[in-house]
Amino acid sequence: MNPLARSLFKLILLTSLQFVLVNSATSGTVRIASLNLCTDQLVLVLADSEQIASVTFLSQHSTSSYMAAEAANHHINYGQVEELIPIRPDLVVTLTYSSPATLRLLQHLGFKVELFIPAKNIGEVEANMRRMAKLLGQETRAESLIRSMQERFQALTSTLDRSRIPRGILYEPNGYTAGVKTLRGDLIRLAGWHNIASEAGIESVGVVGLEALVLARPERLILSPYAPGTSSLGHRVLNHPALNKVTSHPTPLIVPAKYWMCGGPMNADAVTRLIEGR
Amino acid sequence: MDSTPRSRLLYWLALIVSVLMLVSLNLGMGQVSMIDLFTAGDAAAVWLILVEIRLPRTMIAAITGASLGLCGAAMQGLLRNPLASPGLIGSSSGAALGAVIVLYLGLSQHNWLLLPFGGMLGALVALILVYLLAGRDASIVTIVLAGVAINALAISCVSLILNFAPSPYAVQEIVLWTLGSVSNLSMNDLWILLPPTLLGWLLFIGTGRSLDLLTLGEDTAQSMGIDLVFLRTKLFVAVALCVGAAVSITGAIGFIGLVVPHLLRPLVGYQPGRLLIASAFGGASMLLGADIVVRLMPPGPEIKIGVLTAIVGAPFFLFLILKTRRWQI
Repeated sequence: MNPLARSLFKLILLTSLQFVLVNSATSGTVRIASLNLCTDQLVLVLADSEQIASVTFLSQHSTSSYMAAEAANHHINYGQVEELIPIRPDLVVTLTYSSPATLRLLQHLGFKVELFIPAKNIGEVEANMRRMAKLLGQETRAESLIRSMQERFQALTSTLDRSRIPRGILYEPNGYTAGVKTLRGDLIRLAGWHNIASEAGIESVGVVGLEALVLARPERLILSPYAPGTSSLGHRVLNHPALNKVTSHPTPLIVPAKYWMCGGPMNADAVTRLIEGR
Repeated sequence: MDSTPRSRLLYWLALIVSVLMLVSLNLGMGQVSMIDLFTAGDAAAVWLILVEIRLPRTMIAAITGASLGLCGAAMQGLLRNPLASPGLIGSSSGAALGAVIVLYLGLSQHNWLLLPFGGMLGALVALILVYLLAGRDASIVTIVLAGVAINALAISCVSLILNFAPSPYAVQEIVLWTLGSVSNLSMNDLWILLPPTLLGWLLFIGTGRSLDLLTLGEDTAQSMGIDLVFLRTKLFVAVALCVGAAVSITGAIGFIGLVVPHLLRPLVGYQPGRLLIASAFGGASMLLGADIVVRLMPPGPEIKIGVLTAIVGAPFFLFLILKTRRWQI
């Protein structure tokens, strides 16, 4: 950004901030701060721009956040309580996974906190969207988003060839996989796959060993790289030659992590990808 | 070959290694053994498990164990110090640091040879630092103290680099580098491990006699034609090659290089030269055995193999300290 654009940007930011302050003081618009990537996604998709007090830095990363472009101009936090004190949000949202110490501190400081349970299926995604919309006063926007999401699912699954159910499994670094009781498992099922995680006895999240995976004979692996292009020992197992030799499909199916790591309208993109890869 | 008890020892050790390798090939979470090749419905999957998953795991455990045992025996002979071993005097953690730098900064994506090279360089730097810190003819305690310092430094640098690594999985992998693991390895890893290790093993050839003469003291050995500088350089490079390659694939597995030479020393008549090859077999047996125990544990998150070698090795280390203390008092 050149200096002129930057000062212009600052000016806009300052005036909009002033507007927000005046606005929240007069009309009671709720200004919301999110401390978790998944609540970020709901806030960014449902709230008006001036309702957003802060989102996490992860929401600006295009590999992990579907709403990275929308998050670009907002105040960001790194999940620390002290970052929220100067921006004085009316409401703080995060997942139930958050550290108990953070939650205690927030309550002690008098912040109003709403905790969201991570969605385990597409029904819970809709419920979370409705709940967030109610907090923000954006019910009509939520209903129209949910309706168009349902229409997309309807269109995608109605043309599905159910005579052939491919055997697949989500395989993540260190051998982690997701079963039927997870959002990703639900989306895999919706897209007409047989998820062989169930054969390994995994219903939620668990590790499936290389040998068990070979014996289960998946037709295709589903990979969802969270940080593509980085190296680690955890990634090494994804390149194990045995995996390439056991699947009938020559390449694994790649579903970008941001399509289904969190619940939201972007989950339809994950189902699209999963159906294309059948 | 004569059939003195000492050469029979090598046959026995080779037999133990072979049996353990066979057991290792037939043991795993998949409950598959070689018999299933002929009886199971899906023989192709069984073959895949045996050849692509169990074979590299078994071979890497055997080769890594052999390298660690061999290097322990060589360093104890060269430094004439019962506590010298790759884990204690810093070369393992130095190797881990080198490998971590190469792997997590993504350098090995371009050229896989860089990974063992990083490990080797790390091991060599750690070795030389400890040697310089402790000085020539250092006491047992001085060398171990220098080793402790280099170990601590290398391990904290490993954590530091893993904390700043771009991969989100890096931090939780600290334990893999400090304790070691041979699970989920592939033939690719074996091919990375093999060339530097074989080169290192080759360098050990012919050093046995020099190590034997060194027991008479450095001056006597020199008067009998041993070029000490050459011997030291050769062994340092050999240890760096073996330990560097092994650690860059399996992480730093401790205590094998310390325990194995001690257990076998009485059986080879306290001759450092004979101890070398016996310790290689012994190290292979110990690591293969530990890896078999790991897989016999109830299913769940796998225990890191270094935990087992430490449970056996650490009490042994204490025992050695007590023994040397008694000597000094």
